[in-house]
Amino acid sequence: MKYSVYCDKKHSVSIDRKTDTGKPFDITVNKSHHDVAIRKVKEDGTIMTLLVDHKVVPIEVERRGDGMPVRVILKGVPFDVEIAKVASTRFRPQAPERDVSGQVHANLPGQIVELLVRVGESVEAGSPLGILDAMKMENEILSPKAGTVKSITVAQDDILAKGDLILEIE
Amino acid sequence: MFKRILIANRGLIQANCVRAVKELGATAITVYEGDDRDSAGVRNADEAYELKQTDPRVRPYLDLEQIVALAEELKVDAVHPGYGFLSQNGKFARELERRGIKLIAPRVDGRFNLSNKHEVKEAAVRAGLPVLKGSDVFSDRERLEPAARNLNFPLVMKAAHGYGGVGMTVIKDMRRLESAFEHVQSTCAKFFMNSPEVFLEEYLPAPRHIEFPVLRDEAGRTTVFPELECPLQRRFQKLVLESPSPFIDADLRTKLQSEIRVLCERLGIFGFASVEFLISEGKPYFLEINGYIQPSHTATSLLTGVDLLKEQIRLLSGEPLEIKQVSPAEQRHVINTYIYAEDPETDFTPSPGQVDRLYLPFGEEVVLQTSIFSGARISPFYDPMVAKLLVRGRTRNEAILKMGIALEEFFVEGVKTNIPMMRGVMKSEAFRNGTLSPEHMKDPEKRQAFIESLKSTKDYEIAALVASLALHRDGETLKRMEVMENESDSKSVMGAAARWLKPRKSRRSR
Repeated sequence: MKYSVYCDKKHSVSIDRKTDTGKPFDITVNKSHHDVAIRKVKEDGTIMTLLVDHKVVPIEVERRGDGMPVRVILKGVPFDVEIAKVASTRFRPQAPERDVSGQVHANLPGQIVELLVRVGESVEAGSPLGILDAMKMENEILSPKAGTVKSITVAQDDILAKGDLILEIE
Repeated sequence: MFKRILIANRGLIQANCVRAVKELGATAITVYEGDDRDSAGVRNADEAYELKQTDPRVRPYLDLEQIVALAEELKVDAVHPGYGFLSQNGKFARELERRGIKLIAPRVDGRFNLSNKHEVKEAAVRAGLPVLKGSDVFSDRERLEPAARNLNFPLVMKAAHGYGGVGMTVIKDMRRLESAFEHVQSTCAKFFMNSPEVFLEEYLPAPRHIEFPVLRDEAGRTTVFPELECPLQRRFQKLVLESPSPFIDADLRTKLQSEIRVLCERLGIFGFASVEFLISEGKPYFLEINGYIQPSHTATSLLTGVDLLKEQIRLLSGEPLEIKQVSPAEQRHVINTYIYAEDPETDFTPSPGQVDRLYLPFGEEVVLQTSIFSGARISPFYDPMVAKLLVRGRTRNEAILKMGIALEEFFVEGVKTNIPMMRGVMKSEAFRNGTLSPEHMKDPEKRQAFIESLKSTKDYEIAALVASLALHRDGETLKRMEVMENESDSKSVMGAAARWLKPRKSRRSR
C-alpha cells in the first residue's frame, strides 16, 4: 500500500507487510526505510505505542468523522496531517462509510423564500429542499443524503441566523 | 511543636503540607471534596475528612464555617491553609483564634496585616525601599478618575487584599478604568477577600520578577534566602522559576537582602514571608510581601537544602530559627517549571478530563511533585496546576539542558498540558538570554512557535508514517472481517464471531 500524506510537505509512505502487534516490519517514508514494531494497542486495536527505529514513541491519532487521520500527536506534540492519496497493489480498503448527518442548517444568515418539501416526503441526495434568500441571492438548500423528511423547524419568510436548523432528514 | 495539624487545601500544597507535618512528627489531618478523594494528600494523610457541599455557590474548600467547626471538633492545635483559598482570610484567622487554634500564617502583630498590599507598601516606603508610583486605596467609583489622573498609563489595578495574581488587571487608558474596576470588585466578592478595596499602580511593561524567601522567628532572628526569578507567567501565574536569578549580581543581592531584613523587622514578621520585587532596567521596585507559603518553596529547598514549609510550621509553633545564613550556593542553579492541565493552543483554557497514561521523568537532581496519576480526573473547578518539575545543575546551561530532557520524558495522555510548550521555552534563545516577557505568552503565534521549534524533519516523517499506519490497519481490519465472513458458512469459531460482529443492517434490509 502506498500513501501520500501532507504534513510539512508531501511524504510518500509505503507499507507492504502485515502489521501484527509485536512483530517488526518495514515502512518506507520518502525512500528511506524505518524499522517499525507495534508495542502496545488498546482493546479496539488502536495503537498506543510504537517502536520506530528502536525508539519508543507514544502516539495518538485524531480522526475526522469519516475515519481519516487528521492529526498525529507524538509525545504531546501535535502534527496536522492530510491523507492525499491511497494506492493499492493488493487490496484497497473500503472507504469507511460516511455517516452524513441528516440535519440541514442554514449555512448563511438569510430568509426562507420557499420550502419545497413536506414532512414525510422522500428525497434524493442533492435534491432541492427549499430556497434561502441570503447575500442578495436565492440559494437552493440541497439534501445532504437520501431519506425522508423527518421534521421541518422553519416556515416560509422566517429569518435565520447562520447555523439555525432548517429541517431533518432520516 | 504542634501535635495535630489540619491542612485545609487541595492539590500539590495539600500533599506537601501532609508530608511536612508527618516529617515533623505531628499528625497530618486533611479535608477533601468528593472528586479529590484519590489525591496524594488525602492518600498520605493520617486522617482525611470529606467536606460537604452545603452551599452550591461556595466550593467546599472556601467553606469557612464548616472547616472551623471541623478543626474544633477534631481538637487540632493548628490549621495550615496552604496558599489561595482561605490562606489570606482575616475572618478565618479570627474564628480559629477564638477557639484557641493557631493559623499557620504570618502573625498580624497588632500593626499590619500582610494581606493588605497597600499598607505593606507604605511600610516599605518608610523602610526606605523603592516602590512604584501609585494611588491610595479606595472602594468608591467616584475616586477612580482622580486616582488615575496623577499617574501614567498603562496602570495596573490591584485588589488591596488580592493574592496570587487574583484581582489584578492591566488598564491601557482612561476609558478602561470603569470596566476594570467592576471586574476587580466582582473578583474580590467571588474569592471572599477581606474587603473590596483597590489601588492603582503604574505598570512596568517588561519587568523581571524577583522574590526573596524569608524566615523569621519570634525573637527576631532572620534569614533571607537567595532570590528566585520568575521569567515567565501566564495570567499572573508562574510558568518557570529559577534560582538564583542569572541577572542579579552579588552586590544588588546583598543590598536587597539587608533592606529586606529592616523591613521585616519593622513589620514584625514572624514565620515565613516572601518579599517580592520588580526589576526594570536594573532598578528594583518593592512590590509586596506574601505571608502564605509560596509554590516556589520546593525550588529553594533544592537550591539550599532548607525545607521552608517545615521551617514555617516549626517557627509558628514557637520554636527558634536555627538556620543562621544561607549564602548563594556556588555552582548550583535550580530551574522549576509548573505544569498545568490546560491547552496553550486555545489560550490556556483548562483541559479537564481523565489522565489515561502517565510517564514520569527520571534523573539525578530531577524532582517531580505531582498530584496526578494514571486514571486521575482533573477537576474543572480549580487551578489546573498538576505538577512542579525541578532540576538542579552546576550551571544554568546544565540546568536548562536537564529540564529540556526531563520535560521530554514527562508524558501525560488524556488531558492537554503545557509540557510541549515548556520544552519549546527551554529550547528558545529568548529564555537562554533572558529576554522572555509576559507578552510572549499572550501572543498565540509566539506560543505556537515554541511548539513548532520542537519538530524535526524526522518527526514530520514519523507523523506521516503514523497516519499511514493507522489507516493501513483499518484496511487490514476490514480485510480480516471479509475473510471471516467468507468462513461464516463453515462452523469455525471465527465465522461465528464474524456473523455476530457484523452490523445487522444488511440482514434487516433483506
